[in-house]
Amino acid sequence: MSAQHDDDDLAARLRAIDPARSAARLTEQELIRMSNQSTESIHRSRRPVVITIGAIAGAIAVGAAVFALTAPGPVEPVALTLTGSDPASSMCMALSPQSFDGADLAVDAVVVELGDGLATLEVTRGFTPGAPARITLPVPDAMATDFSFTGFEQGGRYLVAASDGVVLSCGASGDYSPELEQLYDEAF
Amino acid sequence: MDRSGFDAFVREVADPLHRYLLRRTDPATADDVLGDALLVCWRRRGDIPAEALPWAFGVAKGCLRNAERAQRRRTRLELKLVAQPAPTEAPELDLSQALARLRPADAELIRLWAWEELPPQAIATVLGITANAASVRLHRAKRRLREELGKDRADAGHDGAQGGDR
Repeated sequence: MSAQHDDDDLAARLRAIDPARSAARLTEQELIRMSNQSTESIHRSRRPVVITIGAIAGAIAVGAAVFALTAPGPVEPVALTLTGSDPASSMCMALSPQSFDGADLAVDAVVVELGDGLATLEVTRGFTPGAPARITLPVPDAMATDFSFTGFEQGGRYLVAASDGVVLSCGASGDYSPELEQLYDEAF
Repeated sequence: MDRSGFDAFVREVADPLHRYLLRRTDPATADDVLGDALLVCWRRRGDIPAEALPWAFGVAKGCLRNAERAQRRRTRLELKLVAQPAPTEAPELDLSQALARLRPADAELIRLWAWEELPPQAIATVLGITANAASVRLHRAKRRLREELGKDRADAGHDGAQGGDR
């Protein structure tokens, strides 16, 4: 029996146990509804972002964070801040999926705007539910922080994880790399 | 891509995406994640390639991970994913069990190949690996699946049972 025949036979047997083999096709009405919901629910989907902003504002009120918030609105980005820890006095553990315990936001994002020490990033993938469409964060000083950002640049791709509005450091956030993305996949 | 272009995109990918999700999670989650995935596709409509389906599978994969993370806090159904029994009869029980025993990465390659009927190049797009890596890993995954089936057959032989792998 040829390898191709073996493959065909195995594929046929696998198709017989396909859990979706008896699933009904989506109807025309369902397709229209889904298309409409996708294109019209941008504002609705961003409502949790407004709630998140409110929650972050609460954290600021107790003095725990130092990040700035922009006025809430359906298209406003979520503002994150850096810890500003001194790398000379910081201890960083080896990165693992557990490094992200407690993180409530993790995104793959691209810089779309740079100015006044602030970077605006458009989220291309949210690893956590309800990820915002955009985030902002201060441009880190590579010499003064322990972040793994090599310096933001327009169009640059970054992986950012945060807890209560504060970006995780020690390499848990930084320039995009397949290795870091793999860790995000495992963690989230 | 404008709205009409996105409508055409939805017509092309929604049903395969729905089946992709039904193969990996429960029906309610599949419906939810399908909506999430299409929303992400709309947001990223500028990135949609000419061969849209493997790319869309990749989006759905990410959305499913997000949903699973949220659900993991409650109850998780990891074993249900692969071991979901066929709804009526139970054909190929040995094959279902062999598939469930594979490493998750191998099982996913097998599913993408046999159920989504993707060639290695498209599997590579879904998994974010090279086509060559997808081809090599798929070959290994098939071999491991056959080995698992062989174990079942050997066990059946020891038990004096009839049947097993064809």
